[in-house]
Amino acid sequence: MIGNDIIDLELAYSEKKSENQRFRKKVFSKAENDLIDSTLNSELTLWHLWASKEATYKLHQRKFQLEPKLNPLRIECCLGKSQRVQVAIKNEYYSVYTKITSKYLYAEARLNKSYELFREIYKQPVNYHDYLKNFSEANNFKLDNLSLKKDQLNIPSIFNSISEKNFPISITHHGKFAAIVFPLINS
Amino acid sequence: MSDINILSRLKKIVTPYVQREEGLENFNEATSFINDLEINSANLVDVVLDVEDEFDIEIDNDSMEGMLTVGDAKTIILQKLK
Repeated sequence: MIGNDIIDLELAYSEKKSENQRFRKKVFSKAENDLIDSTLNSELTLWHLWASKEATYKLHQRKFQLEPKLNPLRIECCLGKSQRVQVAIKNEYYSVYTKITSKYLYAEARLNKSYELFREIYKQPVNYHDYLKNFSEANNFKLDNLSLKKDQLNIPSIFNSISEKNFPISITHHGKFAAIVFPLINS
Repeated sequence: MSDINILSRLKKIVTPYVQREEGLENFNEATSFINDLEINSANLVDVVLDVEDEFDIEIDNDSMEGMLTVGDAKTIILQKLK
């Protein structure tokens, strides 16, 4: 079980969301908003929290097979040590790992550490063939047998036509960047 | 307010956030903001704010949660205008 989210920081900063109180009120709790205001780079903190919510939402939606929803306030974040964010949806708790560079912020939520993950961050242009290629190489599957599909809840997976099995993958794109993450098979 | 009027105003609101232009060609109540128009979630919050301004209504979080298609948005707008 995985969920990820990437933010193109140049594009995100151009929207000046930290100055948009109405947006912030719809998305962030009082504690989260206080945190945004208390940091030196409010924009970065805001997008760090946003991406953590998004990545967690994707994981949570997949885990419980939920209909798509837009309710970021229901997902509570709290920043922990070493770029780890603790996130709660109702009574479910998740950890989000974040990688921040000068160009992008990448967040990844996972259920537990019992499996190995493969992740790749791309610069656009990229398309689903690239995702399938990475998946086939990482898992030693024949590329021709793989296809990307989304179920009725719009949750993506990779289908292997030989074994007739679906394998989870989380995909995200924003501005100049895209990223995928999937558990390695047999890990 | 007619349905057609609401839909045309909605179309105008979402257009700057749309990443899949083909989705706008057949803009109807079944059009999904995320699947058909590929509006990202942060921009979907912007759409909600723009709808509030355009129709002078307030969309609470419970309503926002279910605003996934053009038809959902229309229903919420009509409800709030009552």
